[in-house]
Amino acid sequence: MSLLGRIRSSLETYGHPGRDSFEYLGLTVRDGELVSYRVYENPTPGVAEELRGRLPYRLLLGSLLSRFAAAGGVRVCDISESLAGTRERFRLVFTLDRSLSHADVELLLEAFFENLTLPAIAGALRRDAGALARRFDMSIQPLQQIGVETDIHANVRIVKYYLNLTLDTGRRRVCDRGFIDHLKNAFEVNLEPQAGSLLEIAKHRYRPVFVGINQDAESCERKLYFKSDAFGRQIEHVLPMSESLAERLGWEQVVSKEDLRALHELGLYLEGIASTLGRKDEWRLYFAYLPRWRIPGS
Amino acid sequence: MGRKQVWKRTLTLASSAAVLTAGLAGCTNKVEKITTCIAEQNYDEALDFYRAKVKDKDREELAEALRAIVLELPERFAADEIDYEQARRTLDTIEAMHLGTLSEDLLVVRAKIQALNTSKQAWLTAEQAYADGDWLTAAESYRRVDPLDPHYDDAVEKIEQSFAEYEAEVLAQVDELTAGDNYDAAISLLQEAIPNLEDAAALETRLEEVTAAAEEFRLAAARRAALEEAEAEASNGNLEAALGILERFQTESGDSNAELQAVHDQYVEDYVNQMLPQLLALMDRGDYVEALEMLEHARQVAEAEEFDALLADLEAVRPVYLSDLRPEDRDRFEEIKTGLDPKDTAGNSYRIASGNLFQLNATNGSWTSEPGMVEYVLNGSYSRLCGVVAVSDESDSVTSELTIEGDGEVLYTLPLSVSTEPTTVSVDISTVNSLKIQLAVPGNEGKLIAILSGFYLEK
Repeated sequence: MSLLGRIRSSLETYGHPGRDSFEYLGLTVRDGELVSYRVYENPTPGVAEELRGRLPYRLLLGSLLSRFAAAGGVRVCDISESLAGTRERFRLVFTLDRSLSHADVELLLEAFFENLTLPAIAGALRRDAGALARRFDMSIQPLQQIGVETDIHANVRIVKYYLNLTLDTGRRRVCDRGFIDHLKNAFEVNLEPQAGSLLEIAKHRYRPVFVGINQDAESCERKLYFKSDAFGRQIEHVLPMSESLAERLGWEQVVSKEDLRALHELGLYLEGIASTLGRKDEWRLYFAYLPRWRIPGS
Repeated sequence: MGRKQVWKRTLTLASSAAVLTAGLAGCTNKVEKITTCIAEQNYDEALDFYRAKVKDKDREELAEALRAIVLELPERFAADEIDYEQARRTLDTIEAMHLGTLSEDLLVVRAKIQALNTSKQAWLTAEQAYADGDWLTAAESYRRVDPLDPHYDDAVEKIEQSFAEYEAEVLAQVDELTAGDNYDAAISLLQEAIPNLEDAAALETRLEEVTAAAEEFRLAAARRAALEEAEAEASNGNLEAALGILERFQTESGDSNAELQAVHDQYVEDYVNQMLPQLLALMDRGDYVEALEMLEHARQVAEAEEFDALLADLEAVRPVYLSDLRPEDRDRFEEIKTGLDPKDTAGNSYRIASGNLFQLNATNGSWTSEPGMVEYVLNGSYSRLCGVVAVSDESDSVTSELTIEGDGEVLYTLPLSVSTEPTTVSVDISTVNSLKIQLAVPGNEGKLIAILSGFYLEK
């Protein structure tokens, strides 16, 4: 099935009225090729309740993360399952209130890691968050989401955390040379090969909003997430920007201008872009619904 | 006296001279025989006699006698005493005698005879062309008449006459073409004719006149077309288009035609009469933003004192709208100027055409949580801020809060959700220097869009 055919099919599954759980369509592009395709779903209340009954979530919420999950300022934002190859993966991510203080977050992290026995990852998280806050001179703590991905037995395979990059006022920063230098120094990663692409994204009015980090026992993957600066009625003008970006960053082999226009006709626009830090040609493209749009005819 | 008689007489004299010079009767008889044969055009006989009878000792005397004949040939040919064939055969016959001392004279005379022959042909051609009215061929052929030709003086005179006739003919044709408004053909004719004349001053002057007339003719045609097009628009009540057509024509052509200006002025008057009632109705309803927009557009379409006066009236009565102010800072705040009219959650529509319509966006999502805000510097110039706040039907089922702050102090708070009815706001801002309208991050995940309509500031 063509990419557009798959997308249409996904929209019919996730976007119908009554089960309007579609959040994002995510395309991972590596070296100019499509390597994965995923629909991000907001779990509807029924689905979320059903998932909570599954063993990994019972273990996570009932014992492993019970103190953390019950704490004030914490709420579940993603509860989902997926396949990694032939193995099921269970994902549970929490959102932290932006108003929490550094001290509050430190207490929450102690609660989060107390039963996971992942001291190295806990240390890495504290180091990343601290470095980011220092480099970007943040007075508000940067951790906005934290979660895990487990196997069927609730063995944690990956710890995920998302560090906010917005200003203390909630407004977004601009990705310029200084921003890239701060990011490079905070994470001690070589961003020079991809600096030009990041600046190109910024030129097309996408602004950095957070860094998403996947830590497992062996490796660490960091992604810088950009979100379109357009809001309200300006979103209608994102299409030419995304067409230009596709051409400049070499995504056209995967998502041509015609595809982008067809997606626009389906009511989708390129709202977010993630760039894997340290990998020049790895991107994830996030398509969201345009305002007022749903499946045509629904 | 006939030509042959002259020729015979000349030969006789030449023969007599030869006799006197040579003093030898035998030789003289031979010379006389040959010259007589040539004079009587018995060229073969002359040559046969020469070959049979003339000895080396006779050649010198003969050569002198024949030289006289040869040297007279051009003049006699020019005078039509002999024709070209006679001259050529005479020269060929004498040349065949191989009298070495004559060879140079023969060459020179042969060239002169040929030139004179060409000249004679040219004269004949020229005369025929002149008679046929082919003036340029005639002039060109007259030019080729040789100065030795007896027609030379006539030819020189006829050259001038030919050009004069040509010029007169061209001018007559041009008059005929321009009388039929065929200016392009007339211009082409003149442009082709001018290089043919050495003195083309008259044609050049005429070309300038015709070019100017052609320009005026085209302008008049374009003006007629513009007036017709404008009239068609005006008769449909589309005076704006009619004025646009006339003004575009005036700008592009530089035309200052009085008739055109009169029609333009009439359309301006009609347009003013068309627009004034609409503008006054908007002002009466208090739709000052739409009235101002319409008036500014009308002033672009037509300059009229009535519009200037109305603008002064409008400025005097209208309040200061939020859209008149330039935000000092803003985030997720937009003025709605295009697209569909926004609706609130109660189903009310807000007219974009009325202007002064804004939206504040706030979002709480897994990626970002962002408030909306706009800030103005007022410097204590206003007493009250008034307007209507509603929640856009594009909002999610979330709650938020709109606050109005003056110099950092909260002056007004309005909780918002999809069930909020449009709310009239009236806030005292009499001492406020810095005004901030803020929409908080929604309490749960989703976005809320506040519509700000009809916001104005009282002085």
